[in-house]
Amino acid sequence: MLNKINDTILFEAVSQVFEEAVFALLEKSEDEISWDPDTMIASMNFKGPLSGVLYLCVPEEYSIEIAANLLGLEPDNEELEEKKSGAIKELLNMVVGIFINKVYGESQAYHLGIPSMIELSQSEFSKILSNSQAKVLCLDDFDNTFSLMAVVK
Amino acid sequence: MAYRVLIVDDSEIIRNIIKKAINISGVEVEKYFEAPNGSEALNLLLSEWVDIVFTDLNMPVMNGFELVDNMNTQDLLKDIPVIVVSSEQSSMKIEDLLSKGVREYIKKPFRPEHFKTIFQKVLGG
Repeated sequence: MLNKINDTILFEAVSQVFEEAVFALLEKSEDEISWDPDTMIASMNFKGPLSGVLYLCVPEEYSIEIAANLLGLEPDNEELEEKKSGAIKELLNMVVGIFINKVYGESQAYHLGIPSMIELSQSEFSKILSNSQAKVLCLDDFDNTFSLMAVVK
Repeated sequence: MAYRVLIVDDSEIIRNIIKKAINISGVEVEKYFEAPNGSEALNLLLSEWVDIVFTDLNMPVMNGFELVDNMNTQDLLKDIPVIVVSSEQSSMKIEDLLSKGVREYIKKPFRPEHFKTIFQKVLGG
């Protein structure tokens, strides 16, 4: 089952959510993923035959654009500053739901955690990138680059 | 007819999106009520008349499964239609919820048309 967690499944899950929820068309990026203190990171655990965590790492500026699209608000709306974390968490929640369904299939029992915002130091971030059980996907919507990371425990 | 709608989700963003989706779908709503978890939803249901409940599953304090179970034990609440709106896609969980009386299941991400269909199917509106 570990082999089922691959770039294709991750990409299908995240691209479906971004297309349907925030009207963004994604493509895989060749950019190098690196730690940035201004990146907002949401994480969500999953438990089942295979357990792990997914991280959605989004530049702060892009998170406001995402929240605006998700909520149908103008990008300069003052409310977006306080909504951006919730928007990132909710997108990750949707990505994990689709991702897990693709990995486990519809008939498998599993448990999903609750998405939360976390902070990762540069060394913690590097540790994830170098984890042999991690799948890391760099994505862009033609204007913004962000990443999705899956780590199996 | 205008409906009184309760939306239960720990994400304020999703509560707002569901409200927006219902408004876009053209369904007339008299009043929206909101709760961040099942426990607060139950308290609200005991003090306000609600025509339909949209609830998430994974929430802190009391989740959507527990909310449905609690509503089923109370004569006043057991006939209120409950629609689950969740990112969970497991057919086992969906079947379990439907067997408990949940009327419909909407998978996230959703489209506003889903809500129009649900209102027509569940409340005839």
